[in-house]
Amino acid sequence: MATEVAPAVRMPRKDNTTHGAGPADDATLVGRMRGGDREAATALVGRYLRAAYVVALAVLGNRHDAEDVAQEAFVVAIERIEECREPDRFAGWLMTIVRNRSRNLRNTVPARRSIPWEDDALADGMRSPDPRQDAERSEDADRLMHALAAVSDIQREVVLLHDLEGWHHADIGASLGVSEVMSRQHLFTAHRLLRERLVGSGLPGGSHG
Amino acid sequence: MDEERLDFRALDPSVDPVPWNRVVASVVTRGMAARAAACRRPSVMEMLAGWKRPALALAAVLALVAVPVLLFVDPAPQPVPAGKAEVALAVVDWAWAGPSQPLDLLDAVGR
Repeated sequence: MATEVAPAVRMPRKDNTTHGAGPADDATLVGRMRGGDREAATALVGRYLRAAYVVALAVLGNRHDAEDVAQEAFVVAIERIEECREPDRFAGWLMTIVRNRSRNLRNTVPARRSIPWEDDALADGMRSPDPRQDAERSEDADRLMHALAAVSDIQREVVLLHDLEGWHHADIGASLGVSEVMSRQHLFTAHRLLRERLVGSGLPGGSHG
Repeated sequence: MDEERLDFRALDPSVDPVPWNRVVASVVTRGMAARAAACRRPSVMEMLAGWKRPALALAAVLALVAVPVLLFVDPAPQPVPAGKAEVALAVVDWAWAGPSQPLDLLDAVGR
């Protein structure tokens, strides 16, 4: 089993500030959560659950498993919040838990669900009340998953954290234990490979956000 | 470097806020419940402290059993068997008798 060690990373976010009436920073929220503050826990989960899902998805290639692992990892993180020795680096600590649990799941039960990167159903938390909308999104998601299979774990994590989650390269590099330059290199390579795969698929391969 | 973003919104689990907020609330509820249970769980020292009374009781019972046993059991060493004592004495006599042959030793022990 891989160990869940707190890495020396810092995760500054655009909305992670104590200035004025803005949202509290991670260290403050962690401190409040340690005191049993449910609102602080909700703020942290709202801030990082999607990133946890993205990291799990990059490793597992299965949206159901990624959602399960991200949620379980967050539950464990809340339960063991006392072990987060550097509260201002909560995100890096959480992502290490997610990554380790994802790798453990992938290594111990490789054939538990559908073939990685080929699953065709939306995860529980992603279903909308409109089945037609779900079907369209599911087709797009399938194409993206198929394209993501062409890149490595680390490239997937970089591209998803950057493009979907909006993280900066400094944060991505710190989370992965690589330099900012290397993070940019991974993104460049991933974008090239993904665009090759997505050409002609009718998928939104262009920019957004 | 290429900083243009690809559109991964189809993989975004929070695109529909209603189910996503349910997931967030569920994670918070489970996490806080697990944390509360962990806080209630006794530490190793507390568990050891909890075993203090049974351990003392067990030690007292062992002492009550051990004291009469130690008092009534004869601590004297077992005597050396007679045959072995004779052989030892013969060997000592042979050694004190001065220069002699090994065969004399056999004679001394009666072999």
